[in-house]
Order: sequence, then structure tokens, then C-alpha cells
Amino acid sequence: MQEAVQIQDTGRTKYMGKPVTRLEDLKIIRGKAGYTDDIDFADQHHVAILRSPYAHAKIIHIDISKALSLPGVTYVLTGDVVASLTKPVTSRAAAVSPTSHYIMASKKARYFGEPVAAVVAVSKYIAHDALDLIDVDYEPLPTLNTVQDALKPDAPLLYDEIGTNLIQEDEFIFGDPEKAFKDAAHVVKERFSTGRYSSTPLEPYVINAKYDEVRDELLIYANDQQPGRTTQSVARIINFPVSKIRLIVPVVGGGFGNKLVIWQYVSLIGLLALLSKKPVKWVQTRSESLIAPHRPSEYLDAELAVSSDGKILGMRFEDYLADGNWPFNTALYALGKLGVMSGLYNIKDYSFKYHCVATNEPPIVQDRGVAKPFMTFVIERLVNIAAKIVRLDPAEMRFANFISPKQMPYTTPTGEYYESGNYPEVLKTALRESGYPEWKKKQEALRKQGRYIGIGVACGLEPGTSSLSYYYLSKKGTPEFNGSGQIATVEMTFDGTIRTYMNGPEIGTGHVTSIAQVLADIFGLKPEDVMVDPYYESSVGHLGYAGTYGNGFQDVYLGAYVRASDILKSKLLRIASYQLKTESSNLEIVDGGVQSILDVKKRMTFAEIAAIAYNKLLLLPPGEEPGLKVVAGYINPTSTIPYRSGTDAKLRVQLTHSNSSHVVVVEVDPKTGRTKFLSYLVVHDAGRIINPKTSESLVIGCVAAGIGQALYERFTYDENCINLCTTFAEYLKPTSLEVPDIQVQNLETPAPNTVLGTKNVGEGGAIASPAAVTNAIEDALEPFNVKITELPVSPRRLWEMISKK
Amino acid sequence: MYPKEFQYHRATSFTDLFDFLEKHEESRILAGGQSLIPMMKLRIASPRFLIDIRHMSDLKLIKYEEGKLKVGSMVTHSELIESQFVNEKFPLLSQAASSIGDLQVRTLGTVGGSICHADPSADYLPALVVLRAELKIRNRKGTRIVPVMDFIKGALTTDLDHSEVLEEVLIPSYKGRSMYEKFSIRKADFSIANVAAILDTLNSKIRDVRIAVGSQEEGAVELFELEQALNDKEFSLEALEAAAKEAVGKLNPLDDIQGSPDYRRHLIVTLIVRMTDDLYHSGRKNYD
Repeated sequence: MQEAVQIQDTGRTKYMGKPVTRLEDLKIIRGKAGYTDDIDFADQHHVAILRSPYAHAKIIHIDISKALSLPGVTYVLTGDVVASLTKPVTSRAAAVSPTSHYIMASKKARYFGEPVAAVVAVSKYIAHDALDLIDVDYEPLPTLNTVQDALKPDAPLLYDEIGTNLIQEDEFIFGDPEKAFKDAAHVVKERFSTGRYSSTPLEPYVINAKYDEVRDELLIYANDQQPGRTTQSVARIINFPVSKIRLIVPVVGGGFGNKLVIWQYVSLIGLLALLSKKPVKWVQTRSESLIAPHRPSEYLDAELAVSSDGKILGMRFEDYLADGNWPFNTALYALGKLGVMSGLYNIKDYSFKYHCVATNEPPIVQDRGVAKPFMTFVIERLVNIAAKIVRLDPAEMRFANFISPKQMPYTTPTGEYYESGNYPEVLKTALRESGYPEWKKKQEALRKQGRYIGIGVACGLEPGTSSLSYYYLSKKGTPEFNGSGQIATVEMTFDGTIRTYMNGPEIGTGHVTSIAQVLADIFGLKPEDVMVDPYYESSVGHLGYAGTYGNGFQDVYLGAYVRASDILKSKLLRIASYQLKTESSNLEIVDGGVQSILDVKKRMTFAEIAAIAYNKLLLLPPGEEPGLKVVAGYINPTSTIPYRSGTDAKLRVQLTHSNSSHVVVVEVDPKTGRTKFLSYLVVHDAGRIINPKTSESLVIGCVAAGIGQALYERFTYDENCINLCTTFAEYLKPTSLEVPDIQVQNLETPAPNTVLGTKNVGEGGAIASPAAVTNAIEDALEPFNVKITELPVSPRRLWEMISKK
Repeated sequence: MYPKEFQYHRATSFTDLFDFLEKHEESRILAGGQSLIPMMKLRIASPRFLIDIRHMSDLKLIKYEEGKLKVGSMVTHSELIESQFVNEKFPLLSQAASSIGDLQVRTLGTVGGSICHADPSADYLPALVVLRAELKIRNRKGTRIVPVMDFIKGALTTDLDHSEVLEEVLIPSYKGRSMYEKFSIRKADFSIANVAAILDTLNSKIRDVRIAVGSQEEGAVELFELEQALNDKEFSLEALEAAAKEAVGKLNPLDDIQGSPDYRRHLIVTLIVRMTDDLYHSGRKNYD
């Protein structure tokens, strides 16, 4: 491992670590944030997409003549034309790729809602009217609704050219699990499962594309979460030079991973702009957004080997994932589990097998936390079930197995490197602050009155900065992308203003303010005086995987801003030192200028320094380059190339590791299955925190998402694999009336491997909350002997379990 | 989420309204729009003409005349909730209105719109059934009065002719205590089970109990047999449970992804038992 970077926080903490009010909010509240749909080109045209009403069907014929003759319609695109003009979509992690899968269905539709045609018209209403005029002749095929359907020997194939519906499988063995199970006093064996669910950003996908003849470029506005990759994907798919694609990402109304696969549609809308020769805008409807993408449904057969005194000796996992129609993201939800497989615990010996299957469910996407919420649900449920067997309090069971702070930094059997953390202290604080012992007493008293209170504890690891190195395990050679680093651009403008650009889109997570806080401390300014352009532009320097995703902002994204700022700051000091005839080491940055620490009259304002760097070039120190724009990069020093040999592997999936303990108190009405929250507390340790207010609101939002997964959210499919939840009347998100008052407390164990000691905060609440909530429900229903192994647990499902139906 | 093209007209008078309906076969009356507009956006309904009656002041009155509460069809749920008179004299109606959707829906949605939409899980239906509500329907020639039970013909189907409009809901005063309860997954969702009940007592015996259940295939259903089993008897939890189970066993609850008929029946029994217990004992028993 490389040496840990020194935490450079001296003199930099005037704004960092303070609850600075978000600079973004006023504009958002006034409706002036500037979302993609707020932008129109002259002669703006609109796109509507026709979608397959079948989950699996041959497309025999499409007649677009009636649609084309509708006044106002200028162009209609069908799948066969797309297939003749574009390259197929390929797998990202899986070793195999189909050759018949395009950004629009050609010959065959493979999920309910797959695009089969698109209309360009002068208004969105006319575009939607035209959809009703397209005649498609389908021949429905039997559907693959589940893993079992897809694995039947005589199952129809989703992709004939792959020859199987089993897209990817693998096995890993770490240590000696066989011995662990031989030595075990108890073995817990359960099948855990989850339905399909998804984040649902308030703003659905919006794309506006135009071919600019003068500049010979394809100009695209899109609310894209990963624009660095998108420009490259679009270029490859539609055969257009990446150098001629300019992608601008305005402020985004929520990402949550959902917008990581928008490139499929950016390619389609870009293609429509080129073919129709019109500026074309597509605004996804809510129903379209609920059709796809989602998390996969999956089930995992788990075994836990436990000693008589409650020590976890080993684990065996076998995971079956229904990855939907689209092999693009297949295996991500399996491979992503490797980073958190043993959670916060000292577990040395375990094995993991996975099977990823193609079904007629829609595409999957890396939704918030990806594989981690379900993996954590499995581990934290197993620990609770085991605690009952060895007669330990669930909290005690955790204390008995935690990795201790003395073991830090800790390398797991899979090679994941936990850089720092104090897990016992976080749980201890959570138990104390939640009044855990008092609730236990109250539970006993209320049970005598026929009221069922439950207390749930769950601890979750929250890895940040996805290195994406699991691709090394599933595909030969060096993967296309790596997420271990970032670059940033920081400049001083003509008038001495510090200006910077987003190195990942602004998706509502407070990044503009956090960047301003860091730069304000570096340059002796107020956060509101730092100019942070909230739009992401592909023409500003970016890496190929740039985006706001993977919980990486606090590490490599901010790290890159610090690196670029340090270089710019040194240059300012050199120019001032030359002018003021004072050693650079005797100069400091104060209030928008550089001055001598010995004589405050020796001072140059930033504007004076900028005038030299941009205009009065002959006043520059000899050898100094003119200009004040810096593009600099940073790679987390703990990232490494993975190792794989047979069933053994060592890889660092993610590079920082926050953690949290949740203590939840619920009351369950056994007659109706209704769960009511009485208390919810999270103690969170994400290293140094840049903005406590933002951090707290991220944790609360994440917990709300986890509550959705635990109790409400599930895309239900009928026997023909048709999604029955295409509006918010059927797909139930918890609202402010369902989400309890969530208390958040922070502990700070700095990360030794990030520039600012920060770790990441954008997923933790969602990772441990499904486990915490279900642990609480199971505790409440202890007298009914209910065991929860399936998500979500709706009131109906709970009632069925209570009444053993 | 983009409706087909339609024309919009704001009615100024009954004559204007009836002229419009007569002239345009493919027209629909627009009330609060809380169901019709989403259906149009999803293209489930595509009327070519909408006639908006929300601004007809004749339809916006809440009156008490001849021993009856008269609620104009364009009174919004919020207006009903905010009426102190309704709250005091017809608390069951206030309770049902407060259970509808969310604040936005209650602010725009109307009593008449909800009744004429005839969603089987509508909150008003069981309440109006036990309240013995009648509906005053007007056409060009005059008015007719229909009991609410006869007006609802099934899911999304009513007795209203294309040439007619619901003018008023007439609700006679009632004696005794009343309660409306709804079980929904989230606070603002459609009900999975909803029950309205009125109950009076005399010398510790139940009198004039009326219990209606909503969210059934046919809308709301009154449980006459159960009422008969309870009337003129003292309260007995065991007897109540047994009678409720028997009565509810014969119902046809809706079946969808949020609730199976079995689960819904169980919820209805639970609600009936809890509500009857509460109504019978209220004032005599201490609750938390």
C-alpha cells in the first residue's frame, strides 16, 4: 500500500466543518435553478417514444405511415433503422455481450415498455398523438418472469446468440469456510429475498439535442449523472466522433443512480437530432420513469457458522439475481457485495457464489448503495437470528464480533481495505442516545397490555469512492474504466474571482456549497464569493468516468479541487512574492489578497495578481507561465490493481468506509400488520464532515429511502411480466406522513487516505435502514414467532405471517 | 401524461351547462378534476369537451333546511372540513372528508365530483350510506331525488344521465355517535378497507346501529344482518366478532396488489369490532 496522505487541515477550517447554508437553495426555491427542461432551442421539436405493450414479443411489422401524415410530425424512427445505423449495447461487467440488443428494440421486444419507435413533432402533444397512429404487429412470446423461469431447461432464450439465459456466474472462497462450519456450534440457514424497487428522482430523464452546423458539433443538454462516460458511449453507439459531442448537464433534480443509464436515451435523442435535422427534446413521463430502470429482484441462500459464545466463524452465500432483459449491468449487484460481505465484523472464512440471469423484467441500474443495502440486510438479519439462538442481546452479539479500532486499518478476506473506524463506539453511542435499555423495559410493560413494541439495531458499512475494480474479476484484461481518481479545474478570472466548475453534475446533494466551503478556506474568501458554476460541461477537463455517483464526492472529487487549488495558490504566491519582493514563505492569503505576515502594507489584491497573469505579462517572475487556470487530478492512494487466482481474489472495491448504527423503535398492530415508528436514531461516522447540515439531510433522505425498501416499495409484475406499478398510486414511496422524525448524530474518525480526512455520506442511511426496520418489526412480533427474510414487508405480508397464511 | 386535445368551457348557468351537454355528445363535466384530469393525462379517458362547473355559485352552498343538511355538489372537501356546523352536527361527514387523499386533493376535489366518479373505494360512500343521504339531480326539465344506494350502480358507474348534473347532497340529521375509519397503506392512499358506523345506546343496549363498508366491487354496502344482530342487545365482544365475521364473509372486497380480498375482509372485521367497541363505550370508558 502507498503511504497515507497527510491531512492538510491547518488553517483551513473557517468554513469547512461548519453548517453553511446551501448556496443552491434560494435559486431552487425561486424556480431559478435552471433544470434541463427550462432550456429551449429555437425551433424546438419534441420526442415521444412508443413502448412495447408486451414483455416478450417478436416485432413482425411496424407501419408508421399514418403517424407520418399527422400534421406537425416531422420524423418517425423505428428499431430496424436504429439497428442499421448504430452499434449494439454491450455488457459492462459480464464476459458475454449480445449482438442483437440496441438502444431501441429491433425484431424483438424483451421487456414491457422497451422503446420500439420514436416520433419527432412540433409539440409534445402532437408527438404523443402520433404514437397512437403507429401500428405494430407483435407476436407475443412466453415470458421469463423469474430466475426459475429463465433457468428451466426448455426456457425460451432471451438472446439466441448467447445460447443461455444464465449470463454470468462465479464462485469465490476466502479462507477455509469448510472448517468454520465444521467447528460451528450453530448454523443459521435462511433464504433472503427482495423485490424490484427503485429510486424515483423528482425530475425524470430530460434530454435536448441539436446538431450545430456552424461548429459541426452535437450539442446535448441532459440531466446525466455520469456524463464522462456518456459522451464516449454515445459516440460509440451512434458512430459520431466524441470530440464533436458537447454535453452540458444543467442542475439535476435528483440522481440516486437512476440517471446512470440515461446514455441509452442520450444516444437515441442525439441520433434523432441528426436524422430529423431538428433540435429535439425528450421529457420522460413519470410512468416511463417507473417502467425502468430498477434494482434487480434477487434471493440469496445464506448460512452463518456461529460458536456457542456468539462468535461468527464463517459464512456461505449463494446469490441468484434476476438482472432483467439488459445484460449491460448484469453482475454489478453480485460483484458489489464483495466490498461489504463481512460487514463490520471479524469474519475470516467465507464463500460466495452468484448466478446472474436474464429475464423479461426491465433493465437494472446502480441504484443508491447498489448491492450494499441488500447485503447488509442479509448480514444484519443473520446476526439477529443467530443472537437469538445463542441467547445474546442483538447489540451484544455485534460487540462480540466487531472489528476493533485497534485492528485499523483492516483488510478483509476479500481484500477490501477499511482505512479507519470505531464501530463499537458508534453503536455504544447509538444505544445510549436512543435510550435502548429504557425502551427494552417499556417493551416488556406494554406487551402485557397487548401492545407490540420492537427495538431494532443494525450496523452498516458505507463504502465510498467506487474504484469499480470488480470488473477485473468478471472480464478478461483491463476494464474500460476505473473510478479511483478525479480531476478538477480551478481558475482565477481577470478580476481576481476564484471560479471553478463541477467535476460531477450538481444533483441536489449540496456539492456546490461544499466546494465553495473548501475553496473559501484555501483562498481566504467567503463561500458565497467563490464562483462555482453549477453546470457540468464536457468541454471543461474531465475524466472518462466523471459523474456524481458511487459515493465518491467527499474523497477524490473534493481531493482534486484541493490539488488544483494548491497549485493555483502557489502560483499566486510566486507572482506576489516577485512583486512584493518578499519570500513566498512570508506571504499568506488574507481576504482576497496576498500579504506579508511581517508587514500588512505589503499586499496585493487578487485582482492585481490576475492583471499581471493575464495582461501585464512582463511583470511575471522569470520563467512563470501566464494565465491562472489549473486543471489537476488526484487518485486515492489506497487504490490497487486487483488479484485473482482461481476462487481466491483480493480487490479494493471501494476506497473509503463510513459506518453507522441505527436504533429503531416501532409498534406493530398485529391485527392489521401496520408498522408505526416511535423513534429513529442514526449515529453516523463519515470521517471529517465538510457540511454537517448537508450531511444530516443526506442521512435523513437515505433513511427515508431505506424505509421505502423495508415497508412500501415493490414493482409488482403480473403473469405476463407486465409492470402493474406505473404511477405513484401503485408504486408507493413513503411520504412525509410516513417517515418518522429521524435523529442524526455524528462521530468523526478521519480517513487517513483522503486529502481532507473526509469519507462519504450519500448512501449510509439507505444501507442499514432496511435491516434496522425489519429487525425492529421482528422484535415487536416475537410472541408471534415471525421471521422476516423478504423485502418489503407490507402490512398485508406481515398480517399473512402473523396469521400464518 | 399528455392528454389528447380537448376543448374547455366554463359553465355560467344551468342553461349554459345543459345547452353544452346537449350540443356535445363527447363531453364530460369537470368538477375538481382530481380523478378526471389524471385519467385524461394517462389517456384512459379522452373527452373532447370539458365543461367546468366549479365556478357555479349555486353549487357551492352548504345549507341546513327542513332538518336536512344540503351540500352543493361543488363544495370542496376542505370547505366541508372547515364548516363548523357540519363538524358539530354531521361529524361523520367531516371525518370522511378529512380522510380523502392529501391536502392538495382536498383543496380542489369536490363532494359531487367524488360521488359521480363512483370510485368504489371513495371515502364518502359508506358514510353517505349510513347517513341515508339522497342526491338531488337536475336536468333541463327539473329535478329528481335518488338515494345514494340507488345512484351508485357499480365501479365508476352511476345513475347520472349525460343530460344531468348532481346539484346537491341531502343528509338528514341523525342521532347517536358516529365514526369513519379507513385503512390505507400510506396516509394519502385509496382505502383498502373503510367503514362508517352510527350507533346509539339506550339502557346499555345498542340502538339504531348502522354499519356500511366501502371498497367493495359494488361500491359501499350496508351490513343489515350485522345491524340486526347487534340492535337491542348489550355489547358483547365475542358476539360482535362472530357476527362481524359472518357478515363480512359474504362481502366482495376489491382485489388488487395492495390488498387481497382475504386481507381486506380481515381488516374490515377488525375495523368494525374496534369501531363498535369505541362507539358503544365512548363516554363511559377511558382511552389513552
